[in-house]
Amino acid sequence: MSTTLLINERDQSRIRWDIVTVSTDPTPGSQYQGPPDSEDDPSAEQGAACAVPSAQLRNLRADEMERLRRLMAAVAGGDQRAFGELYDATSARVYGMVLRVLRDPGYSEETTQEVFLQIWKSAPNYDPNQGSPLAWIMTLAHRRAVDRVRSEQSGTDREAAYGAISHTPEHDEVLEAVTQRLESDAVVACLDTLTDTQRESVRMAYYSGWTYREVAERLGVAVPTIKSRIRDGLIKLKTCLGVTPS
Amino acid sequence: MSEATRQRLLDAAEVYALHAVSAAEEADIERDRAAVDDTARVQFNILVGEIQETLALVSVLDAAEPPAQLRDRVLQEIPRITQDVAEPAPATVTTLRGHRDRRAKQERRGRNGPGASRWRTTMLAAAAAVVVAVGGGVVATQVLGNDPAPTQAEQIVAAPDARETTAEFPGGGTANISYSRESGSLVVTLDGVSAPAAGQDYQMWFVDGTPRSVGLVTTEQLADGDGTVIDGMGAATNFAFSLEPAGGSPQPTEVLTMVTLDA
Repeated sequence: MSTTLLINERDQSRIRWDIVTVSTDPTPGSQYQGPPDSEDDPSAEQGAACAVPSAQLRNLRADEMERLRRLMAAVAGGDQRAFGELYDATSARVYGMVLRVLRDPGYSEETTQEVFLQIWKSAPNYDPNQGSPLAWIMTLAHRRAVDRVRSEQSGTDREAAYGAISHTPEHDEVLEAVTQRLESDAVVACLDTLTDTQRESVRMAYYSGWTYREVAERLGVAVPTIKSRIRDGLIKLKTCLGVTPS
Repeated sequence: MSEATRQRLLDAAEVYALHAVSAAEEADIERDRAAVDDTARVQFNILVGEIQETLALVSVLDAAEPPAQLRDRVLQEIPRITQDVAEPAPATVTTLRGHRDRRAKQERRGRNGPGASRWRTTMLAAAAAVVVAVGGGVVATQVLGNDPAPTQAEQIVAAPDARETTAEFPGGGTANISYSRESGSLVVTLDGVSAPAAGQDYQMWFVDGTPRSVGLVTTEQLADGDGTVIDGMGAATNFAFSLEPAGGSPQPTEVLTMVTLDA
């Protein structure tokens, strides 16, 4: 057992909030299995079949995107009622992601409020040709959350807070729509196509507020290794989710 | 721009999209992004855009309802916040006839305002075309068959500020592109471009920092060499063709050729 793996183990015991564990109905075998027992092997899990997204999910996804586009266009025209609908359609995703980054309900509520006021202000500049409304909203929200977590906490504080709150979303309440149910299943299945080290690297880089160099340091691996784990993991994820048609 | 800069930029796409870089490193990346050529910039923007779409989908697993009072607070606050002013309208592709109709409607209605009316115009234009939703984008395709009425294309070509440029396809053949900044439109005529392999399409893009889809190249376009009118050039600095899986993509997969649109 190398030093690297010991460090991994210690970190992972703190970050048990693996993406797949928050689902109410995780795909068997998708549960996080703990520290990796081998270094990255790109071929290790490539055989994992990824049958998602289904045609049904693609259609539902397209419908939902069209609805969000219409709402965004109305919001851009100053429609406050449409803004309320947009809030209802996206606030659980925004708040949930922000909460995962900030780990503090009070800060998360404040940041979510800032995000939605920013959405209202900037909606006229949203260009549907440059991505989906949801990606635009989540990118804006993640940026705010990362800025906030970096300003609130020094690296050490953040490390101490990291994983200290056990956050379990009530998915039965949140994920009522069939789209979200299917999307949720697809994401769980797609995350399962990543190796453990890829999943861990993407997760830490996205949710911790740390830079990738800090992630490398925490995990005790080389910077180029972290970058390639993140890259390979994201390629698998986007291909599996159908973001890159294949 | 050096090859090293290009490599460094593309290598940073993932950590940049994850916001997992320091402020200093982000500034370096922005500097590289400004320094590289358009092709590399488009590649970088595509990579970042795809990751943003991916993470947006993943966010379904984190969803958690915020406290109920937050909704009221936000809705009470927004009437006091002035919205930004909209930027120019997105690109649309129309048939020649649809284009004329739309222009006539716009002229009747007077100047095209921002916000909702801009969207309405876009939807009108889209109704004149076949619209296919693809991933994160809407791709409009149309057939320019034997429309006997001329001359939207001819008008663009004959415009006082008309310019012309040629894009060469790697597999042979060219795209002749005439454009007029005044009209905000261009005309694309293909010559000798072979059809894409089964299961693939050519897709066209305006580029101004990031690519905006303007539709798929149709088999008719490939066959007859008729000019296709494309609207909504806006501030585009480039026009590109990419090779895509059938039906197109929200973002270019493989840029085949790209021309510069002079200011």
